[in-house]
Amino acid sequence: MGKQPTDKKNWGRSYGEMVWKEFAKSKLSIASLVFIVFLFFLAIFAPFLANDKPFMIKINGQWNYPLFRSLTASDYAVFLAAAFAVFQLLLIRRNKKYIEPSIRGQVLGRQVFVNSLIVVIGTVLFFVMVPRRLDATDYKEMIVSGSAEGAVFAPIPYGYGRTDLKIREQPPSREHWLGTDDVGSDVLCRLIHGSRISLSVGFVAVGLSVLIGVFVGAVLGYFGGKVDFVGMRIVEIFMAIPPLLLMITVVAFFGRGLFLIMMVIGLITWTSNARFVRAEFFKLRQQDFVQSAVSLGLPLRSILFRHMLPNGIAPVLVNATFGIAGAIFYEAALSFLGFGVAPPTPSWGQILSLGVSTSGRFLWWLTLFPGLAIFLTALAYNLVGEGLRDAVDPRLRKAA
Amino acid sequence: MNSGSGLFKFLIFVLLVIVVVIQGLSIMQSDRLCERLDGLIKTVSESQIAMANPSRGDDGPGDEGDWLIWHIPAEPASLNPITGRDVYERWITGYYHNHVYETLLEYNWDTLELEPLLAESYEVSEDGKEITFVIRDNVHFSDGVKVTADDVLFTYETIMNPSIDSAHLANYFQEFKEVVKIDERTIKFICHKPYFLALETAGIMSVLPKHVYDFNDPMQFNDRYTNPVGSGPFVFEKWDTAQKIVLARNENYWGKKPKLKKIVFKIIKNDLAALQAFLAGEIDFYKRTASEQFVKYSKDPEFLEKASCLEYWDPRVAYGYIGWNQKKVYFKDRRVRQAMTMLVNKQELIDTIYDGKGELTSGHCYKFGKFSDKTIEPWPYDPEKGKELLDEAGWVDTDGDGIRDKDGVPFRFKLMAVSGSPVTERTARAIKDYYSRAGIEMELDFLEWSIFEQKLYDKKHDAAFLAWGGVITPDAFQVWHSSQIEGRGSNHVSFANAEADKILEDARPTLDEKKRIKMYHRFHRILHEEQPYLFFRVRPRLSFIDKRCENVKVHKLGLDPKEWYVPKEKQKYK
Repeated sequence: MGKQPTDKKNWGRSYGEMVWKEFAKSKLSIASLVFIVFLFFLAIFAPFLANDKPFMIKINGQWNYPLFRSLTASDYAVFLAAAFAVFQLLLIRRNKKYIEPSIRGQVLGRQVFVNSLIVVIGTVLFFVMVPRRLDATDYKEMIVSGSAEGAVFAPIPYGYGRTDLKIREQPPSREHWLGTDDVGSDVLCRLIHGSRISLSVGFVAVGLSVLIGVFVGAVLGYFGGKVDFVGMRIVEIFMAIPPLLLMITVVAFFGRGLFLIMMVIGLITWTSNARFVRAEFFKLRQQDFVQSAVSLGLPLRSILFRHMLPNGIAPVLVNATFGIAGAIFYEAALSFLGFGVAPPTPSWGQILSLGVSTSGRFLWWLTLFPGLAIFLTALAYNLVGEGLRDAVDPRLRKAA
Repeated sequence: MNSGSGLFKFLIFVLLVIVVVIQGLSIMQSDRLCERLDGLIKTVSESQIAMANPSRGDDGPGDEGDWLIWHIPAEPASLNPITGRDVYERWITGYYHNHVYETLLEYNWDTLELEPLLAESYEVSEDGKEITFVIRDNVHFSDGVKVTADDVLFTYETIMNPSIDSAHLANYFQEFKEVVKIDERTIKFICHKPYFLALETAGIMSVLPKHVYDFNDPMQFNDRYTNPVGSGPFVFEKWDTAQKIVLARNENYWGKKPKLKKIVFKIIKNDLAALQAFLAGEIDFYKRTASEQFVKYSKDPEFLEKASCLEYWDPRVAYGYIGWNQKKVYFKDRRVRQAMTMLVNKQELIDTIYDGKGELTSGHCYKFGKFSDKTIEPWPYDPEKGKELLDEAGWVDTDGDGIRDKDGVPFRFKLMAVSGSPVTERTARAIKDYYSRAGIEMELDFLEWSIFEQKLYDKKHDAAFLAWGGVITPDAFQVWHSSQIEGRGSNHVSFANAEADKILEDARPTLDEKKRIKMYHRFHRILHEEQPYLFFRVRPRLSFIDKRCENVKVHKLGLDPKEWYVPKEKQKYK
């Protein structure tokens, strides 16, 4: 693992680099990726962007920092995870320069494992150590009444749980850029905080679905024959379940919760991943490097996940990108139907469902903005997926 | 066997399957055709009869014919008056309207007095312990069998049968020692001791025909949820699950026949969908509109041409409340419960979320009725006083996290509410915000009704957002007496107060209404001071009725579609 910058040129280009180069050719794909990164930025820094508590405020001659005090354990966990994700990306760049291609995969795996471990431990620690706080002080009122001064507020100075019944269902105005919802909360604020729900549902649900799909697909594809026959029938049974109906049933039985929704989406949508992996493994099974791995007597785990999987994962990653868009749709649909996360936790689908009131009034700002958010996010993920698919498909690459 | 013949066999098999399926389909198709023909023939013959036999003059004003399409927001679990416990059973077949089943007595729609219906006369003995009913001579069930004392006795015995799922009714009937059949037409209810509700309990009991409902196995009766048969002016026609329940006029009815030929109860869960259906003319009677809909459309001149908007009160309106489970450490102290009431600006909620439709209430009885003490003002919105009370009760924020705590327990609890209603969600969100301003963290838990009910009666919840339906003569024993805490009793907040218990026990044998009113006023005062509930609001009934229907009268007890009719030229259905 020594540093050998002198030999760098002989290393050639890795698969990842080639895919990235292909991917970067399409401006649309890059634009979509930028949009997604922007969304992540919004989601991660949501408490700093939209909050009813000021960053700093002078009360009785003393500086207070209510916004920082009010950050919750999950806020800290998100920051930690984001920081390590960026760190990991930098590491990958560095790996490219200093680490031999033959062991780069192993090194990367180790880095990812260590980093995730740190994030998980950090998250647990945060949840144990950071107390839950409740701060419903009306700082704006303090400024108005003159009992405090020098406040620095977030760009959108509203909290997503705060209600103001006097200004409910107001169209966009200077104070509330995207209007207010049915209890007078600021829609923009709820959209920003809602992006956390949508993005996390997308990631966790698809993560779970990839995990299950890869495992099942690998086993079926490797063994083939009767195992494959029986396994595929089971996969088909799962495919026959209408996802939305099952989700509604599960939510009705076990109550509404974000975690439950993620789990259910993950547990239903793994079948396509399994089919992709199975197809890839069928092909790979016949290839020499797999045959030699088998004849060397390597353990099954090693053959499947160390030797075959890296060569067959590309279609799954492409599919996962589409899957994220799908999961975001499912969550929005569930929330729209009133089976999503319980209010006041904001969710795009839930805001969307308020767009038509019980008397049939159409509140366009409650339909347009969350609708756009859902649409653009799903579109961006789909475009990125499309770009990825073109990039990993060698036939297309030659043709271009 | 070579693969060629295998394929051939398979093809033959597929062919056979296709033939069988097609055969089945064609049978179904011809069935449907026959049904349609049947229907056609029926309507033709019926209309001929109607032409040959114009409306009988002695049945009051109006033309015969047409249907009433009546919206109900949920499907009843059962149309069996003994095992069914939802309000829709009472609307459709039960004692609110006596459409299919009838009772010995009925409330006069305007005076709320009890008047004979199936009974010709009744007599209460001087000590109030014995009630004798004499059943009319000419009354019979829709199948022609006469109503006798045996049927009444059968109904009573079924309710008291411990294997029958009727605990909610049996609770009231326990006051009777026995029921004795004197002769075919006379039956006597005998109480252990005088009970003010005895006459109503016995009189407002849907009488089941014994020859139809008799059973050997109680489960057989419990499972009978549809096909109701009674003596009322309507007979059950059909029940399309999740769509509609149809009642047709009982052509052999013993009494005054209604004008309407049919009543169709259309099940539409979503308020907006119900409104759309009303606007499209698919519903004639939208009984429970949302406040927002009523406010918007009652000002719309175009709409008013087509429909009438009625706003009225009746004693059965429900009151909304939040019940604080007193088994939980948070709500043991009366001062805390009072504070919880003062922290919520209920008037603001009514004015905004409920579009100004509704009134604050301070107790369990019908707000405008005689049992409610009108001198009691609901607690005002006073957050400062509320916070003081919380401080007094020892709930102070000691660890600086913004949440009040006491003995190391932070004031963080769950409010459970029934999911599916946007208005409920709105209210809960607003209330959560009111409490957060006072350093109380309320989490919201929206549950399906079946799970909600289960949790409620297990009494492990913290607080519940709910409503109780009103009654004409209240007996608060079931909900407020401390004996109703155990088991699946209805005192789900575990309210126990010695004085209140005493009043509730003493009130039961008090037949003198004036005395009882006094007792209930005192009880109202206790509830007000103790605040076991956050008494929230009562709402008037807000109904839309298609202008087709005439003779629509608002009674003291609400609307009675039995007296409505549709003039010949406006009739829509045959």
